[in-house]
Amino acid sequence: MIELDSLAKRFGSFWAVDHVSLSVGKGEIYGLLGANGAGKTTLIRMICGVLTPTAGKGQVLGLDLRREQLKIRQQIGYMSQKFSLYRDLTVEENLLFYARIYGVDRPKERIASLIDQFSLHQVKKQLVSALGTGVRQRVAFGCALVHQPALLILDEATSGADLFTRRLFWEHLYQLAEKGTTILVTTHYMDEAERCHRIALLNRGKLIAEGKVSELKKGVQKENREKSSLEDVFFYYMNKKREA
Amino acid sequence: MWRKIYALMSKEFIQLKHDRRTLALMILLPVIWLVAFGYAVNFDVQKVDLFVVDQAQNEDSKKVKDHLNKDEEIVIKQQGQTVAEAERALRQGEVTLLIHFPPEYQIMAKEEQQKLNISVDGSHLFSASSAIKKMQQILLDVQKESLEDLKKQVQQEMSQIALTEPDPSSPPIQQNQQLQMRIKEQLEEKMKEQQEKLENLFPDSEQFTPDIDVLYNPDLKSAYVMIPGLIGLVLLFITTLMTALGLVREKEQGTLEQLLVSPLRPFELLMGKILPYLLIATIDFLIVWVVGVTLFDIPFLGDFVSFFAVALLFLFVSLGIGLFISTVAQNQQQAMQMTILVLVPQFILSGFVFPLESIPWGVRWISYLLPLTYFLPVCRDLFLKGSSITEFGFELSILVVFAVVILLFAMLRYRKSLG
Amino acid sequence: MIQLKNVSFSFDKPLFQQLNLTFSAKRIYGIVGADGSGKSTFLRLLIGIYRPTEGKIERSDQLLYGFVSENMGLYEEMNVMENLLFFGQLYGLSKEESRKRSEELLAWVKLEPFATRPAGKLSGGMKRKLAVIRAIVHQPHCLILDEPTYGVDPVARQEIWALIKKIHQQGTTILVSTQYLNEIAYCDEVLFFHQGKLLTKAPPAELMEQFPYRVLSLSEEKRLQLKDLKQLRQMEGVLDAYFRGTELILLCEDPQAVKRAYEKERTDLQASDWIEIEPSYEEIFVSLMKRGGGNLGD
Repeated sequence: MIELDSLAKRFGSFWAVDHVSLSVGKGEIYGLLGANGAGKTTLIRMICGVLTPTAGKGQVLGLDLRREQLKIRQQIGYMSQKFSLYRDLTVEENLLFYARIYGVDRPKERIASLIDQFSLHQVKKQLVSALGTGVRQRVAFGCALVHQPALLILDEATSGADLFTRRLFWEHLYQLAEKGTTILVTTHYMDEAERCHRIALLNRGKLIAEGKVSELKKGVQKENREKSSLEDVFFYYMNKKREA
Repeated sequence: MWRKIYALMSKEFIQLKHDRRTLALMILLPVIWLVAFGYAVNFDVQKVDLFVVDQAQNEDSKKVKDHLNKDEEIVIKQQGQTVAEAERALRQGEVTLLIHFPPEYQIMAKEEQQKLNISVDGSHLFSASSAIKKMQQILLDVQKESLEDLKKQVQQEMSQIALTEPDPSSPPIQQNQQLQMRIKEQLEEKMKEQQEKLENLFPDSEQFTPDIDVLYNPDLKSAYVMIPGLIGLVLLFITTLMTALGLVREKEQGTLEQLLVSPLRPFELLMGKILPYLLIATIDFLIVWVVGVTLFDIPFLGDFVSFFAVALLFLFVSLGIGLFISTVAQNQQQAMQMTILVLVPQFILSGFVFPLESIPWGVRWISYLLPLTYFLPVCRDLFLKGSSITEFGFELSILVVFAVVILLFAMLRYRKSLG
Repeated sequence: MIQLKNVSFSFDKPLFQQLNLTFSAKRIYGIVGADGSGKSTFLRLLIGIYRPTEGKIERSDQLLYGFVSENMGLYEEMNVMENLLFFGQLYGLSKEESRKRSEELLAWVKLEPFATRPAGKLSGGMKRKLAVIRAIVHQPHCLILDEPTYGVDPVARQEIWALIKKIHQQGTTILVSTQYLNEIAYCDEVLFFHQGKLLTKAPPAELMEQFPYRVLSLSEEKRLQLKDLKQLRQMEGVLDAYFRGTELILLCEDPQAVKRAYEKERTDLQASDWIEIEPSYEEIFVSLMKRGGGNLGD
């Protein structure tokens, strides 16, 4: 679903994404973990077709990253940390707006089913500004899914809510993945990263480790000879890079 | 494409529907400004308060006072005996005008101490100048009247001399009578000649003052000049501020990012943002126009279609400015500040308040960099003179240049700030 | 040092009821919970920004606080040094004292190169650090930090915790709120908050020991699906089940019983597919929430 071959983006003399290659399969939940400025957002923006890469090749959903940006964007669902909702519109109006922007067929029916799916009946006539974080997250999630995208991108969108809400949210993600939606998640929460099928660690624009969380943990455990958390794994690779 | 633009536009209007305050601002603001500039900030002063010190108490001073009393716009508020107390009242702002009849006052003054003294409070700029104008008018009237009286008096006296018959009691002498008649005739003729000569020496009071023919704004009302200018200002304000705020708000909320990852083309997004405000600005334009024409009875002599076309051109300029601000500003506060930064000089220097000619060159060059400077004369002349749009080739082409340059610049920056 | 005696507090609706808690000197207390769980309100109650509706909060004499709110309250347009100096003087330090202390603190957190940079232009992590040292300019006995690591990346998070520990070593009591469960490990004692209720107050090790359930992980190769998860959740003796990446995590009282019961459903599963693992703080929190009357969404 996502095939990146030595993809890079340079701003001035600074390589925000430094020749990253990775591939994500259909129905996979793939996590990008890194500190601020590690290049997560730039990488995501290239995959979304908002930024044009400086070098390298890439395909998203079988479409070329450079030439078919508009087609890619049509099939991507995107949800960011800020939840990107119009606070001065109601829940329903937000959903309808995004449905129209994506040219969804029979938008009213589609949003009715989303309202059902995310139990938004009680709040659908309320302004987003009046809602709590948890509900807002559900609305934003609904907006990102309004056109039934083949690739869902969550840019640090999974934080802040309480454990139950978060778990419910992840259960939705597992369900989507099971039905064949590919999901790309960026986060700097370790426990969020642990929920991904596979993760990539990014540091200063470079991919420094990739794999299943359990395998990464095992690898580091062998080196350190003690039980490692994902945080240990993260710092292990960060320091190894610095030493190198 | 249009369906998406429509979706963006309808979203904008729904937002406005929820945000009644902004909507009210956009519709009411032009009306409030209109009333403010039309009535409150009326530079035509209605009433002048006056202090009279009459130390003469003679016929002449009474005559002047009668005239003052007759005038509706001058109110004799206080009277007193000393100049000192009058000056106090002037200083304390109780009156704006003080007239002092010296003890030997005469309308047809021949000496310094017979002259009327007028003092006026110059710190009240508009009242002062209007008071001076009023006083001059009244004194002119009084003088005219006095002159008329004088003339009549002279005429009367003259005719009295002429009509003095020879003493009937003196014995009539036939030859003498004939001689006398001749002399009398000649004398009368001479007298008449003399009288005419004398009369000619007096100016004809009707021709005393020049005919000032005020064209286009015959009553010289400031509202007449203000309102066409106000149209420009309202359009500028609403479109600049709203476009600037609209996009920055999306930036702040993160919704812009969301739109960028959607299959919207930059052009569609731009149109979706511009068109709603274009529409609202058009409505504002119509409001100001209708209210101006009906409430203030401003004669609209121009051709509406061309007037509207020029306004539309100007709208694109201000939309471009707003768009440009939105690409530079990081948050709504900054956008607001930048908008004010752009608007205030246009308000002051464009000729809206002060005529361009009165602005010194050190500052005036700035005026020529402001789009409103070029829109205002077109707007006023189309409105008041019914001029044809073809007379403004220069101004219009400058506005076109402004529109193209600013919109292009904004679009380039816009693309850059999004990428 | 701080004692809550029968403290109740209402804010629109009743939040805390009949709290009897003691906070002793020189410990690190972690206040853990999600957004809106009552953490911030609780901290503000402790400092005295809010007053209890009922009961009493007793504080030892001359107790000096340092407080960093969630939004940090820095003057963004003032530079780093000016921010520190201003607060030093606010707490009655002389100009020289204030400058000396500020320089010392800047050196501590390696922010000296940024002394003249406006606070608003610092990175998220640096801002947090500045906010923390600004709160200890006057050497308080007790430092209260409201979510000092919120929204900060893992590297900066580690640095902030290093700083907190350093301050703690100087003998300062620390009360710190967080929503990152892994940060519990740094605390001497933890208070769990959920939906305005205090669930527990105990040392983390004690929570681990007293955890009444066992945690199983189901092998990733079997590609278990949501329907399996739901089925497992319905089974008797299963407290909770959820996916964690490729693993399926199961909370239960008797692992053997669950295994036996489930192997009837899924004959392809073998005993070796089940691995017993140590509970994480998440599992502890969840079990506490369930007992605390929380409602686990399905």
